[in-house]
Amino acid sequence: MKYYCVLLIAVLSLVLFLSLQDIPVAQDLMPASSHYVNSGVRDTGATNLVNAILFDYRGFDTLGEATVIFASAAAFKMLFSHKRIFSFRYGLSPIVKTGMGIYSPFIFIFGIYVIMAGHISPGGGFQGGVIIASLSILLTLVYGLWYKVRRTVFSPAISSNIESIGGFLFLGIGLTGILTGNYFLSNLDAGFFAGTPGHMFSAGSIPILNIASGLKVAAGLSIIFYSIAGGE
Amino acid sequence: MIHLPVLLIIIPLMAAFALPLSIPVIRRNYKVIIAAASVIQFTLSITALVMSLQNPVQYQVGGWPVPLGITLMLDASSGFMTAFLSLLFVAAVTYSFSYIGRGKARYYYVLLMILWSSLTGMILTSDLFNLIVFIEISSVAAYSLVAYDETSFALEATLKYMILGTLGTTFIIFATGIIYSSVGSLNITDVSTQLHSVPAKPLNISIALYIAGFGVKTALVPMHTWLADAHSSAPAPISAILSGVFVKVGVFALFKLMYNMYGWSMLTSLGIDRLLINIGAATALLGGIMAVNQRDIKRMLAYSTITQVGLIVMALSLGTLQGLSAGFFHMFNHGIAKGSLFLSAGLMARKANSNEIQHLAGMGRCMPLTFFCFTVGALSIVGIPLLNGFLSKWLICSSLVSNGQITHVIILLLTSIIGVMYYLKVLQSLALPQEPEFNHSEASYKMYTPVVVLSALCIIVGLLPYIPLTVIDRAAFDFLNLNEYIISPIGRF
Amino acid sequence: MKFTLVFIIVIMSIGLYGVLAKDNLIKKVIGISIMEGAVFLFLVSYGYRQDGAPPIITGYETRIVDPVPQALTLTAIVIGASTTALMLGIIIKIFNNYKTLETKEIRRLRG
Repeated sequence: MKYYCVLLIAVLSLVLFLSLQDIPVAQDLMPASSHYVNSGVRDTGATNLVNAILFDYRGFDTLGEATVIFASAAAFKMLFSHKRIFSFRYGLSPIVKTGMGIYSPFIFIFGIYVIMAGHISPGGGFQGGVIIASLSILLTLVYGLWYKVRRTVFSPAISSNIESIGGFLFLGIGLTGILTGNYFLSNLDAGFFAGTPGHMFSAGSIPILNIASGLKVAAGLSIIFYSIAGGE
Repeated sequence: MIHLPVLLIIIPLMAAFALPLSIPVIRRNYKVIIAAASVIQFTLSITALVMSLQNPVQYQVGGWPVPLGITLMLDASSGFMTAFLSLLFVAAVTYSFSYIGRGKARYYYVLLMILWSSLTGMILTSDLFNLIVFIEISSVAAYSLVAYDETSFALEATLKYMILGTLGTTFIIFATGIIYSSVGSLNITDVSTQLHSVPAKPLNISIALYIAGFGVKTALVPMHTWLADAHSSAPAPISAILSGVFVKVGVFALFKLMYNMYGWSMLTSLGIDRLLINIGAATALLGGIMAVNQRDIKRMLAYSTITQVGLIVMALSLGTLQGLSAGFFHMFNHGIAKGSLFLSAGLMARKANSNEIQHLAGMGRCMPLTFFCFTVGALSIVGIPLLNGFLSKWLICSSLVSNGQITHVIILLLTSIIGVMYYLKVLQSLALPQEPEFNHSEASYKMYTPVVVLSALCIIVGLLPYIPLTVIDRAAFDFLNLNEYIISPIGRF
Repeated sequence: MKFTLVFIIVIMSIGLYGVLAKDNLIKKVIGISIMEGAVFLFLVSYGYRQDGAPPIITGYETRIVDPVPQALTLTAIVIGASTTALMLGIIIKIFNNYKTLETKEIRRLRG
């Protein structure tokens, strides 16, 4: 059985290699991309072009991606709804707890920095959201599950609300575009504050969308981990 | 009301985002929110259908013109599919209010709304990567809804579905990558104007990868193994939606790419239409053969879905307007009939506490209204005259004949005969005289109302097909000529 | 560019072999992750332009690589991660039922 698989895969790889060689390797940018590069800063006000594409030109895809995380978190809450507590009830040794106590504010601030400076430097909502979610997972591992349940900032009930608030913020920005007479998810056309490119408060609605998707990703991933780890 | 395409996608999403909030008003009354969202979405879909029949609406999200931004296209074919989708979803939501017990029902509705929104997005979008994103959203929602019951059968079916589904999506992303690297744009119409300058071999590979990827989603022949398990272990309203709509939307998206991006002349010169029609025929035969010895009623219905999807693919891959109309009409008829079948089978299986046909013997006499709806659905799929299934199968036959595919006509008749075999077996078993201790009552009116509505639609469309057929003819015409409706400047900058 | 293509196809083959031929469920999920990685590599590598700079405008660049495949890949990575998480969750529930992770033991996953 395994030999048939290897044979099939070898044939497929050969076919793929011989055919895909012919894809033309472009020297200059494609026409759409050259427009993004030349006029991206003027159209959106963001200097990070990937973020401008993700949250302004193709913002609808980002809404879909945030919805995938939301659906995944909802699926986990649906499937893992029985309360059972696993091994890391009490957390790790005091050395790790002390170290974590020193590190965690810095990780948090770094995550917030990555989210908020998404339109200037590499980063953005998703990357920063993942950093904050990993902070939440670290806190659960180090301090134990009972810490998670009792503290208010990272507790699972608050996480569901944060996720929904992030989603509504995204949709709200989109609907602002409709209410001002433009299209859904319009950025500078809808009158958001443009500012000077390269500064923190610029690029219209892109920082707000970054924050919304960052909240959503952080809350969603932390709900996923908490559901598997034995929450309610 | 030019914002209609976006509103159709956003409104179920808003309902889905609102449900997990901890506000006590929402915690207690989530069914009210879901019902309101469903009603609003249904009215908007009907409005969208009526509007799209007059002239198509093209929506640029964010206001960016064609090669830069995402285009949502509401023409007659998208409007028709959206209305059909909303009809089945309203029926499923109404049915779920009484069928799904409390406990984790809140997240069930969240995922159902997300599924609705993403399927609408798949229909409306005109952008390759946006299509992939919506396929992923709908797949994630579908995977988790199949696993709702948490029996071991359901979990295994979900895992098999997930692995195959993710493979399919990986193939679709690969094909999109090939198209983008060669052409430089992601809009379907924009790509279609540029494909003549792309070398032939990567293009063929991309077509093959698209057929493989979408074939997994719509259960075409080599990739159909997940459907029987998944649709039979899902809760009844989810089976109705998955069988009735989800596979059809996959077929719709695949053929939208085939017709509008590649162009049927290119596909005919490569022989892809022969490939697609043979895949459709093989799917139809395989579904029929596997359905005959099934003991579980939902598994049999799932194999019947595979058969009918094969017939739809056969009709759609002819390339003629007649074939497209026949395919769309059969999508609609099968959707309504299969929805009614799954919902009524769910009612009977819940009363009898088992899914096996032999344990359901005699249920027909206990629940006459449900049994009547089941009979209408079964006869419609088999193709009895006076019901809608007969009309759509007749249309498929005539479009196959006018293209000269006589072997495929024979295959269609064979599948109908095999269908008679396994459906009549079930009907006979259900209509047996009941045992003395078997005294179940009829289902509550809240649960059988959607079933009755769907079966009544089967009969109405069968007797008075004029209005649906005009809508579907217009939808097929728009589907073929989608590229001419894009209004913004398509030029290279 | 041919070397990149060979590399991508090798990685994709390894992933596909993992999904098809391995019996442990976790190895199948790892195989899917590897396959997705190969596809993302394909997307990004064909967006590279010779001597291009990363797509962040600081005023000092002459040539910039294509920003669109990078945006597509970011979205696709997040989606792939969510799907992988869901798969692992389902595997955890199957493990609770069967106490094993081999496909030979789990009835309906054979074939």
